[in-house]
Amino acid sequence: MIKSAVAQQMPAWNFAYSRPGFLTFKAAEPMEAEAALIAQQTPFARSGGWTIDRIVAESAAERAAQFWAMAAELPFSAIHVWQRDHVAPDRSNFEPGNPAAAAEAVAAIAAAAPDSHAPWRDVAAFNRTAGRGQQVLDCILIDENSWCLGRHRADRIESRWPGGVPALERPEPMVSRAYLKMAEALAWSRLPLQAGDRCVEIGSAPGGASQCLLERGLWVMGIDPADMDPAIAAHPNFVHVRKRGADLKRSAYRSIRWLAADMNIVPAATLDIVEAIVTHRQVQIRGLLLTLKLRDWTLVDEIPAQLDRIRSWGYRDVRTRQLGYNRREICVAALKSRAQRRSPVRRKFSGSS
Amino acid sequence: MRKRLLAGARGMKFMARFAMLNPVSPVSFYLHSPPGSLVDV
Repeated sequence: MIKSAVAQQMPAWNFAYSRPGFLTFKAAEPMEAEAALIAQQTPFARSGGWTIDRIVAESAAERAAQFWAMAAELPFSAIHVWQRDHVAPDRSNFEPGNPAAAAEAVAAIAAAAPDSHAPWRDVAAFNRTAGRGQQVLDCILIDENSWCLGRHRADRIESRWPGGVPALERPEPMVSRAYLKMAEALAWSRLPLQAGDRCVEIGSAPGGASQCLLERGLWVMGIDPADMDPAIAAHPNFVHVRKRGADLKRSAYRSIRWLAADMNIVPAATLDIVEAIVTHRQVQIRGLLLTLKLRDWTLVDEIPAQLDRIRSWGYRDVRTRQLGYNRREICVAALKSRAQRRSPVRRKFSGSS
Repeated sequence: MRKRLLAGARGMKFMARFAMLNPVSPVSFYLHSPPGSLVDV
């Protein structure tokens, strides 16, 4: 998908070295570089940057020495070390990155840091969220004996995270993996949700995403025919409606300002349910966080039309991304206007019911 | 777009420095996503 997208948009780029999930392209003219910044905005590219060189050696110490032989001459203020994903996101054991492998590589790189870069002898200096605009060196763990040295500028929020995935703290207990999806979606989308805001989650069971929203002080109405986790069901700011999203009267959504939906149905069906709610004249929902399931890859072709459909409901700021914690699905964040993302309006509704 | 172009200009400056290390290499760019059908390698 990415290869074909790049081939269409950037015909001057030549496909080069690749491993599953990791693609490199070469452009003959340095002026093509600007276009690369645009190309990496495809929702399925979790991260991207300029390739400096590959590092191939038997031992981690040798690879670290090669790393510094190149890196020591370069300007940078952050180093991100992360492993390319080896497992497809629809596999049950999928998790983005590999923190253990990254920690091992960080230890080797830190141990080999030259005197000129002594602060990098501290492993805690690595894999921090980069500051906006910082130059980041990427050390991508490709295979057992192979790394790739690259670099990017941390402009967008996701490019500030190592490998494009935020470091999330997992609550104990975590109701479900949906907690991580929601936490990442909130961090990436920067929807201006505030404590006390009213949110509806369609397809809420067992309650991982609701757990995340409740932690942030929101009042949550969870709509799902299935059982919720007892701890979520008993939360004073949570109301469980044991129905399907389409079966609830529209008046129930009148005080709701945010809508999240994660249902195991095709994207068009998800949008049918959401459209019936947000286009009702008594309903004023400011923002959406939708998970669209891509059970069949041909559904990807329908995404542009679906985003247009969401815009037709009055949401002008519509963005999409396959989040690090997404499986075979994408996250869509929609706001009435981009200005809302930058400056949250004063909330009108608060408290629990 | 202007910001993006400025970022590109800074990138050029950066690349000019590392191009000195490897002057024959053309501009190379990488993208990473989870493996599977989305990346048809």
